[in-house]
Amino acid sequence: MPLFGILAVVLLSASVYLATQLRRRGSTREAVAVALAPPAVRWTKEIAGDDTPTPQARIAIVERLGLLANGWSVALLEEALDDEYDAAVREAAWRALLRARADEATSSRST
Amino acid sequence: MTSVLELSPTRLARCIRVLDRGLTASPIVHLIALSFLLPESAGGSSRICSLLATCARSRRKRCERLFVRLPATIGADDLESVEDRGALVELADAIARTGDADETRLAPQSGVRIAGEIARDRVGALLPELETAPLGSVIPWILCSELLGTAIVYRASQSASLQAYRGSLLERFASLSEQSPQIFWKALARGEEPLLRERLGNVIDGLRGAAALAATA
Repeated sequence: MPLFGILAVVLLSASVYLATQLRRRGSTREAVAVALAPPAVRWTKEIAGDDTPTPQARIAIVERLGLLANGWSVALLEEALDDEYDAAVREAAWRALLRARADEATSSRST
Repeated sequence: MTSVLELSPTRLARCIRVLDRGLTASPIVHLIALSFLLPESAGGSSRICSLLATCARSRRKRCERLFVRLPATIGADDLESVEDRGALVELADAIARTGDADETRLAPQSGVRIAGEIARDRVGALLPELETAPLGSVIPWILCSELLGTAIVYRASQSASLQAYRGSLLERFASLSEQSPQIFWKALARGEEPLLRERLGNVIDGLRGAAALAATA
């Protein structure tokens, strides 16, 4: 009889151990998936909706915003500088903003 | 009816930059050009001037976003809203109803100007189609081409490049007017229009020349 008791305890422990391991593996997989997904940026929302464009596409967007150099595009470039995590995109946004401000300064001198 | 768009140095520089880039990298460059060069005043009533400015602003806003976003495909929502169309219908109706006696004097030229003559009968003839054509169709862009000026003017110098470009736009859009909006969007997304591109290139050169003259004055 005690043998059955010991066996039952061993079986119960094994199943608890297995369940814990499986759960842990599942959450690790989720954690890996989360780590692989690129972080979302908010500044592109007005242009591209909820889908975050690739860093290369974001560089193209900030370059065009710099060419427009008007009220809303400059505001969006400033937002990109605050929000952007990718160094190359931040650099492009900074350059575009500098150029837009230089244009603004030149034209205000000439008017 | 005389139409006018005054371009400040800032605005002119922006226009040249964006069109220059658009010419090599944006299939919707002709819509951008139209929205950037639409007249904002005319020798009609102040109501027409206000409607012109409203329509030009809303078209420009949409085209600026398209220029920045560079979408792979284009749809009706990208090109206009019900309100945009309503304003355009109101504008066309007001222009068509204006008589010769209603012409008012335009403000004197202050810088580089895009000038032209709006043919009221042609605008009026577009009204029925404008009211019934589905959203995103080519018809509003035919109207915008009709409204577009024909000369880039700075003091005594004029460039006629805009007239040739306007003519080509009207011809191309007319060839798409019998097609569904989807065909128009596909044509836009393809962006293969060598003659239009060449003529827009000439317009950009004309704008650049006027900007250079204004800068040295």
